Amino acid sequence: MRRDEFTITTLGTQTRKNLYILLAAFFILVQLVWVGLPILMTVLWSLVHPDYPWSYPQMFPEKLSFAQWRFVFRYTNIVRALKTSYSVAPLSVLLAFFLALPTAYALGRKKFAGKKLFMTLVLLPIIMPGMVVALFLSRVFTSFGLAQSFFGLVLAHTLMGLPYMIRVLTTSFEAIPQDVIDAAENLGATSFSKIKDIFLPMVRPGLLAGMVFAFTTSIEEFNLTFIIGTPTFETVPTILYSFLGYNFIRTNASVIALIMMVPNILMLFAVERILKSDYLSASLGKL
Amino acid sequence: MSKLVLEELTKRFDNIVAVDKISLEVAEGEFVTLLGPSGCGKTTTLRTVAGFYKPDEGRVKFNERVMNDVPPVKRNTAMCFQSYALFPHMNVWDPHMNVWDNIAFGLKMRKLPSQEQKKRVSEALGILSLEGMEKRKPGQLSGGQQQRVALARAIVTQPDILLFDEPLSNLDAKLRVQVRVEIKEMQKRLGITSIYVTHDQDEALAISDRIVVMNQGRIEQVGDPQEIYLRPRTSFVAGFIGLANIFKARILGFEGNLTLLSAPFGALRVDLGRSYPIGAELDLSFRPESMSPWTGVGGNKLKGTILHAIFMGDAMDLFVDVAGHRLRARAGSAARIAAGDEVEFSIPESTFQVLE
Ligand SMILES: Nc1ncnc2c1ncn2[C@@H]1O[C@H](COP(=O)(O)OP(=O)(O)OP(=O)(O)O)[C@@H](O)[C@H]1O
Ligand SMILES: [Mg+2]
Repeated sequence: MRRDEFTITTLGTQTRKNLYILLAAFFILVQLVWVGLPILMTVLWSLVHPDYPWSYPQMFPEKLSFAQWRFVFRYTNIVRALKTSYSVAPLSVLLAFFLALPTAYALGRKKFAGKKLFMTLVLLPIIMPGMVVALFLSRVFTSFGLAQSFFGLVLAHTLMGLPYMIRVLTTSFEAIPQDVIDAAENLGATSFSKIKDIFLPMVRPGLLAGMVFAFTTSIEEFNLTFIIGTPTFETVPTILYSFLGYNFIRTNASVIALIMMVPNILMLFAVERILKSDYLSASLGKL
Repeated sequence: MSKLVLEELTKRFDNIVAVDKISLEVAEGEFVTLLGPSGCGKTTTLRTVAGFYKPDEGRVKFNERVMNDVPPVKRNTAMCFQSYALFPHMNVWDPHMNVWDNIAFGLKMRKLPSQEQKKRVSEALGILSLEGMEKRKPGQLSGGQQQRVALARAIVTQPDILLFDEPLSNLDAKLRVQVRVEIKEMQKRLGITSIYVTHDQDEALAISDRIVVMNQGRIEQVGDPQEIYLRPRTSFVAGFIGLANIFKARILGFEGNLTLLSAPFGALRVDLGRSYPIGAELDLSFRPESMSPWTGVGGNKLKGTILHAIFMGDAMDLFVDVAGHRLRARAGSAARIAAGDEVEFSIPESTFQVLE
């Protein structure tokens, strides 16, 4: 009798454990299919040989080649677009950083009337359709004579990344324990040293996350760039879009998608590593 | 070195009165302890002295100077925070402020020569048994170690006023005693005015020049440790510090210097130091250690039944039923007393304390 009960309970936990493993496996599979498969397909599409089209019954392209890659680099402005993209992105991140920092500080650490409303307004561009925001903003940019100018482009990308940056930084500022700030003041810290030794280091994870957001937003920004930048400035996404729509060429689009995506993914991994070390060191027992 | 004066200090949070019209004078170099239950306003008082809170009413004065509008940076106090509040990071590029950097922070801000910084930090590491941990990061320390770093960071600055918010709460008993002796020695040597917050009454009694007992934002009693322990003025103080037998009694008459009382557990002859009208009702208290097995001389003789007898090493803790009233008493650790025994006790006439 006793022994039976014992067996039943162990069986119960065993079954439950298996269930968890099964569930985990299922979600990993879903993730793989959801993220991995499209990437794999894109890689394959970018390597299709022009003389051997890849069509339905085939699991894999018959013959692989770099012909599409050579084509893209030879006959499109991809190199110039890359230069534009990767000079606009860091500049707009930098600008967003300087604009977001004081705003987020005020939102995270000060009390003032209308704070809730302001927070909502800051987030509005994120939830509005990108094209709508772009349409509004392009009108403003044009009337200020910022269309078709490099500075205008940087400013446009800054504005698109700013909401993320402010949001993430605000949370980081809010998370700083008041006691730590007080301790610094109590020990005679000047404003400069408070910023350098307390605020900046403690919002560093949020800062990095916000910068990554802003950077990838800039690299992938299409709507506003298309309206106010082209034809003077082409970025990687505007070239990508030229292969979509009515002149849909999947192979070339795949090449450009990869060019756009891979640096972002690498950057994400790099930042992830830095953040991990931050969380470890910030895991104070009582803070 | 400063004298500290609080005048009718009041601090409210929304509708909570955290500190309620506190007046206190702390002499230069004096060591004063705030003692009281959780939420009675100890931390709030310290933070107001440090300048993190502005008083809603009243004044904070260092020497003769009113400090209400002086920002914390300019007050030259050093606070040891209840939450430790260590700095986890150094700067954006090297985000690791280690133990040494934490302790030296206040000295760097004061721009002390590096030789002096080194000397003071090393000394503090020694006092707090933190040698060898200089290079560790706060996240790699135990709670007690973090607390000692917080303490070191405050004391190295040698400010005008030191503010300690339960600085030893997380240390083991042995280290706690060792560190508190060191703190006290250093404080006396440097003559730094100190306000010390603790929950631990033994610590308060051992370390303080004077004790301030607080309750619900108010001061219940101020006095040196002996006064507070032997002459509690309110039932709160009597009950909060040490153990106390508290009871009501009526005055029956007088016999020379002594007052005759009727207490719930019998008639008493007590020395109250002053006289009261006959028939008056008084709240009285006495300590368990004043009530011990009768040795054949003097005092009030009471007979009781032992309910529990707990051996505590240095003494025997007794719960006694005297005429249906429960009292706490003490006996020497060698006494052979067990539950159910009938024992005669004596309470000296002069150990009774009238409560307000
Ligand atoms: N920032 C605050 N906002 C609102 N109420 C507060 C704040 N700080 C303290 N209080 C309230 O003020 C009262 C006193 O708090 P305080 O922190 O001074 O108590 P304490 O004596 O230090 O208690 P403990 O021994 O638990 O640390 C409490 O009722 C507390 O809830
Ligand atoms: Mg407190």
